[in-house]
Amino acid sequence: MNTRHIYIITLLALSWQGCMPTIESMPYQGNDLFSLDDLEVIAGQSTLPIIDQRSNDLTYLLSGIQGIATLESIDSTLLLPKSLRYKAGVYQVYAIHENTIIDQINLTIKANEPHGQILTYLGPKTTAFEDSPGTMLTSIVTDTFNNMIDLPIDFTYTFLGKRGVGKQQERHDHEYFTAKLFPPYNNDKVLVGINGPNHLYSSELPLEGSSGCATAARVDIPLYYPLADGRQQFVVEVNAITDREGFEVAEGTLLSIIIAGNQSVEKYESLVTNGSAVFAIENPKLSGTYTLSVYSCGNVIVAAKPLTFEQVTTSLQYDWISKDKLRIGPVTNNLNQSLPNGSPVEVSLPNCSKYSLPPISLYDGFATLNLNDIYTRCEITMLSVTVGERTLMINAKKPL
Amino acid sequence: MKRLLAWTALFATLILFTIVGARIVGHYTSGADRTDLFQESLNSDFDYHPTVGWRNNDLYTRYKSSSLALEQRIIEAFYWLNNSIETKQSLKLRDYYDVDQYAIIDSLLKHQTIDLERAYLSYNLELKHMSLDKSVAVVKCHTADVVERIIDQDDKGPVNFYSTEFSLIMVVIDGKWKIKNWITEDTWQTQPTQHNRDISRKLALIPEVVGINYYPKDSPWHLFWDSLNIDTIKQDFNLINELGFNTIRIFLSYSDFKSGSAFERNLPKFQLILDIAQEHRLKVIPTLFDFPGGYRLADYVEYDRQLKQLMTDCSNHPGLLAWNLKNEPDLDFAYHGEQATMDWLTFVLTRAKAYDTLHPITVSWSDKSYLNCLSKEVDYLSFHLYKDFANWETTINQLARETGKHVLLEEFGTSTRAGLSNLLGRSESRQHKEIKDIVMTCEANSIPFMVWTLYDFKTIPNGVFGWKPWVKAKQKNFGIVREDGTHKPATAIFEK
Repeated sequence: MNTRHIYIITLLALSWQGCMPTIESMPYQGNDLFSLDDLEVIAGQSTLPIIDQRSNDLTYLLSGIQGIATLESIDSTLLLPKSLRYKAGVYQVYAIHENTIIDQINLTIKANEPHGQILTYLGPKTTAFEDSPGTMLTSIVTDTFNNMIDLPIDFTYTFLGKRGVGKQQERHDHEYFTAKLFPPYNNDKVLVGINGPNHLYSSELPLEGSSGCATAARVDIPLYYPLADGRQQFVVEVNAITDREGFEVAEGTLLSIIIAGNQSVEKYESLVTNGSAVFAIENPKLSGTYTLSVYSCGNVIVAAKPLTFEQVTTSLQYDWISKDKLRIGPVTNNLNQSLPNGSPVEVSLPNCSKYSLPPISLYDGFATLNLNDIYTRCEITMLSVTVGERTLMINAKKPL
Repeated sequence: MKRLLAWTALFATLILFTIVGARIVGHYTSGADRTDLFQESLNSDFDYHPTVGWRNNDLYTRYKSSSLALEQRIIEAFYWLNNSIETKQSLKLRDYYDVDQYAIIDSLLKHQTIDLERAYLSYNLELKHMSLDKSVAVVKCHTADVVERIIDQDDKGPVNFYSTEFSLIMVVIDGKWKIKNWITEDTWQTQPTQHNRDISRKLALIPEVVGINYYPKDSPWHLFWDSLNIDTIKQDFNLINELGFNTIRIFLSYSDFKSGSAFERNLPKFQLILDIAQEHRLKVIPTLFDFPGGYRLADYVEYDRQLKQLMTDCSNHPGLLAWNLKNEPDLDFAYHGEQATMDWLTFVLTRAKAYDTLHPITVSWSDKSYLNCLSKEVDYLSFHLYKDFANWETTINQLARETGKHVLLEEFGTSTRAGLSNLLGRSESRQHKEIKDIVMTCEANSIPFMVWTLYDFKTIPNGVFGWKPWVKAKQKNFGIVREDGTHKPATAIFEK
């Protein structure tokens, strides 16, 4: 009786049976003939010997990380289910009698010999030859049933590039995988393939070197609404990003976009992924014409056509909140939304033009104008208030 | 026609009310578990936090944020796998497993004829490989602690504890880490560990207990932790001390100590209570997992984590006397099933002994006839006495002899709002007499005891004692101190 069996009995002893006088434990009464020790089979084997011969009335279960299956018994063998017999790993086989586990073993399904195509992952696909650790090739060897294998395996790496064919041998001795680092290839495209014993092979993998700086690209702006509301966003895609040699730049290269108008400059950053960089740009708040330039390593590599944004003011209202305080607003656009915070409100005094008022701007669609000071210096009759392209003339004569 | 429609509508409404009413009554009369109405389990899909440890190697240090992203995906992948095994629904798994692995799982699920409940309690992980572009990773799980039970036609088998070791190849597919391949390398039964426990010093104090169950008068049960007022606690502990008690029992409800913000919010409060109790020379018996969230194996993850956090953070506090892991579990039998409840108790008892080796551990039965249950596993026996008073001490003495363990009468008391004596104005004298009788019996038989409770309560939160107003009303007046702070005659029994 091994430790596992002792544990099962301990478990039953720990369980609740016997607490209540109405519940009685139902220990297994079969003859204690023999039970097998742990078993080991090769992936693909379809049967196991019966693990416990004390009774013909036992249920056998195979439990693994993936799930649980009932084992069918035929004569003196147990049939492994198709879905698991090919999957290497350690499983538990339970013999159950009247809902009680009476025996349990570990079953190890071992992987077969390494076989077929090696699973390979190469990344980054393109590597910058300036300040870059290179490209890493992760390889995983499996058997014919896709089971991972942790045996030492001798690999041959074959390279095909401008300088011809080269070979390198290395031992795959990690657990389940090997990782090989390739230095950056200077402006070159090299194909690499792996071979191993038992006709192990991989697909050909391209290693490309590139400068870490882009010098050319194409800018695409699929759609934007020319509304200077500071709320909309539009997408800028930068494609065909190449270095000075005409090679695609490395994955992860940093690009910037600067969108500049007369009164504002905004900067956005994005990394090159799958050969493109995508930016989500916020519409400017103020009307005007904006330039959009793409930068790499501090240099402009491409500029889009100038973009024009307009603040569309469709409603401009006001009310007096006291004798000398004027509240301007709500100021809304053609979608009946408040104009963005910070939108300038231009106020001029037609009959007191030598005086000026401090600059004010909208907040939540409103701005407040205090006329107390100006009333003491000039006899105002009218105020001109302009937001966007809309202007209001307001009678502002000082009340008596 | 209109009249017929009206009658039909009225009839349908009556049926609806009857069904809903029956459900409400059923809910509130279902023992000590009072989870939210119509909520099957407190666990939501993402409210799942097994304990995870990482081996601190160079790779982990370099790729810490990626490791944490992997960790979350592994936790979720196994949560959904176990959920699929239980429900035989595999749709969610496509998000976590590569097509080949998904096909194996899916095929197994389609042929699964036996039900299995399984949960991973903890993972001890090592990052073995991370590719330069962070798209391929190899993770080894050195130990995952697993709880599992086989269910054959609604008949739940015993809970099996085991540990497993496996390796995972994970790759980024469609921007998410998915399990590309895996292999289980070993599986072994988790042997019941014999921990070096040294509980003798605290256990020796159990026979000395003259205690009281405590909630503040304005914030009993669910209101306790959120409304905790330090000045009130200090005043009340002072009063408890003056009344002659040396021990208090408090309740840590499951939801108030759930991992995350609730735990972080309430742990310092609990520690402060222990500090104040220590200042007032009072020992504390905290009762954990009050109003639990159910006994599914998936729920064990949160219980285990809560237990470990509480015991790890508080087991060195001198104010702590013992842990009670569950109040009146026998009342859960009807609602959660006897086996599921006992399996859970066995689990928390085993884990608690590993997390705190200095303090005695118990569970308290509402009925003394259950005291034999788990009597070998608990360090002292504990029960409540509200009925069957005839010769109760004989049973207790016999049990103490048979088991060789102390037996604590953890709750007893009398409401001063009960029956005819209330109407005749004799309820407080009746309370005095009944409590005195029990105290005298305890003293004559060297049985330690704790009274229910210090105060009368102004309100009883909904969901604690069901919907019956007369039951709630009775529960308000078990205190030996009135709501206004004046003493009932029963306090004289204890005053030095």
